[in-house]
Amino acid sequence: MEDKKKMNLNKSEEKLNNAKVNAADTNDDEEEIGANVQIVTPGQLVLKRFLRNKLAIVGMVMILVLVLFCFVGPYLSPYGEFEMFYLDRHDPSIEYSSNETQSIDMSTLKINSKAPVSAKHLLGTDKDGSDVLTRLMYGGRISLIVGVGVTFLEILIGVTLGGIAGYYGGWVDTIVMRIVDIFLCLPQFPLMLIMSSIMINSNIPQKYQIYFLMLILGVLGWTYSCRVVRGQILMFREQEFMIAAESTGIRPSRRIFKHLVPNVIPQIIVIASMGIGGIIIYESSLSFLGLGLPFPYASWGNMVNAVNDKTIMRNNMNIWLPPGICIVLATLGFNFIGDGLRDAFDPKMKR
Amino acid sequence: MKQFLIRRLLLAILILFGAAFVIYSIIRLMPADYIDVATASIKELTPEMKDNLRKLYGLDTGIIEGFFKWFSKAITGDLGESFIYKKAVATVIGDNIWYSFFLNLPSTILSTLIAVPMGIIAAVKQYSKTDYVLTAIAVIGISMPTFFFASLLQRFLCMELGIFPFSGMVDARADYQGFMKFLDLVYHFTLPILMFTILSIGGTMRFVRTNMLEVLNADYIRTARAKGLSEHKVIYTHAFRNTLIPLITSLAGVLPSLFSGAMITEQIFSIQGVGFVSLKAIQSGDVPLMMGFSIFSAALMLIGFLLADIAYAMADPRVRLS
Repeated sequence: MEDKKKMNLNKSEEKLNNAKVNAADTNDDEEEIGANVQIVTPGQLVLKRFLRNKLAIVGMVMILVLVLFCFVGPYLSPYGEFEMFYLDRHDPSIEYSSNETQSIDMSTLKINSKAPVSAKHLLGTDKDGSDVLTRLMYGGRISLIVGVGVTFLEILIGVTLGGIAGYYGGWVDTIVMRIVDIFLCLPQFPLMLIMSSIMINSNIPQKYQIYFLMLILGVLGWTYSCRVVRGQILMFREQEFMIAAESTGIRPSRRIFKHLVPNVIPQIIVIASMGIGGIIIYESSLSFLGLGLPFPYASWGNMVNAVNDKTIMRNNMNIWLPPGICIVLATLGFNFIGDGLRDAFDPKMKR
Repeated sequence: MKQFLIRRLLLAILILFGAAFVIYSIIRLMPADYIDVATASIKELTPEMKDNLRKLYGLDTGIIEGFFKWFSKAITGDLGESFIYKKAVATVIGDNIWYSFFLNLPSTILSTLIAVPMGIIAAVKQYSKTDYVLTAIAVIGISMPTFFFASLLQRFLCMELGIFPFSGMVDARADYQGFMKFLDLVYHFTLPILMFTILSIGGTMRFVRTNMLEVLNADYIRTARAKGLSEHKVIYTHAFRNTLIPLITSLAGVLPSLFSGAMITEQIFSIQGVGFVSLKAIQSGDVPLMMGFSIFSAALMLIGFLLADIAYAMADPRVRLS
């Protein structure tokens, strides 16, 4: 970090000198100098390197499109997440929505399940007669919110514990690292299954179960960021700026979180962006096994779950293929961005 | 070395104890225990009879008491008896472990053999089209959820083209014996193995690529080029050999996980490995079996870390274990 700053300083100084020479050649207008001088901050350098990476740009676009699709899309969709569709038994061309069936005799209707792709339902309807495209949008919200939320939680726990362990060392470090060891050897996926089955059968209101799910995934996954942060801080705390910080007499918590942790932010950003993809896969795998957010909530994982019905697997690919592709795209996007960020932050990378 | 091993083993026991306690507490928090699941269809059962059954299965204790009961037995090597299989937990795991092993071993070998050259090529031609394509393939492999990829393969290769059997381990209609039975088993395992291979290429390839890039930037590579060595020699003799250290280390760490099951894959392809059994245990609340395989996989992880450290010390003469 320090080196990079210095390099940039040198560079901008050079440019400044060049600009001065140029300016002296033509005229002494100071505004001209200002126009020629270009100061590049380390952040801008990283951004420049990041934007040069084609795969990272592709990833950014993919995530942006998915975010728009999931968070703006539902407002453009004429249907709701839980809305079901019925057909008139005698005239199947008439379709009713579950919002308007109160006034109609239900015995004359049948559920419009597994409807093919049509202008009305762009991706058809699923087994329960809901619009696949609309559920795809709502399902994506779950995946993206869980992905980002869990990562945030993991980083929060990891940075706090890693920072404390790395700064204090000694027995504090030993205890934290033993806890990390224990969590590292826990079988993650089985425990996720067990804990979400506890969640589903508990009396937590369904609306709040998503937060519980995030808690489960976050608590099981913070060890990696903790180890990285600790390792980095062990290194940084021996450097001169920490002696300076100590001599000003500020509290240890400020020393850790104001002076040490900011130095680790590049690593944290990379871990976070690479981690989101993995969490989306975990969440969708849980949902696939029926242990994610329970029905009637849509999530990409439980939409792919429809393949357990072999006739759907064979004949109704419009039901399970799109959510699967969405999972792949979301994970892919975050992985591409993570890769790009890692390369952009790495000062050793030269192009 | 000896001292290092002893210290690590003692530490491992401590960690296993902690992990076992965490796992046991979580398992016992499950709302529907085995008695509820197993007797769900029997209406005449009174609550007293259920309590008696719980006592019989050792589910009447509190979490702490139950854990120490389990632990004092486990430390003598007795993992208890599985509720659903009515056999010793160790026997159940031992019976099913080889299916998981024969699923994991070929795919690990295959994916390493494919991924290493891919990683080298991608690193040597950094930022070229080849690099982009290979990296993109690798990341797609990492980003593909197992259940979706398995469904795709089943839909197109099994249903559409009928090349592979849909699921299961043997053809139930044919009663093969001896070598034919083995061939049938291999035939049924081909698709899951293929899937595993494709999905795990990505991780190894990225790993090789990153390490290779780091080495290629080193000064001794410039020296090797400067003294006029052929590019082939520079890359395969000088650069690649130096990436072997992290590669061997990570492979040694993976070794024990060959025995741990893959829940989703084994479930989808109905392969009766450890993962399949453990998913069944979770669904039916089989506490001893859940504890058994959790501790088993935790122990495998610890052995993996230890093997990685030892391999690191053996591959890199600069590292001394202390």
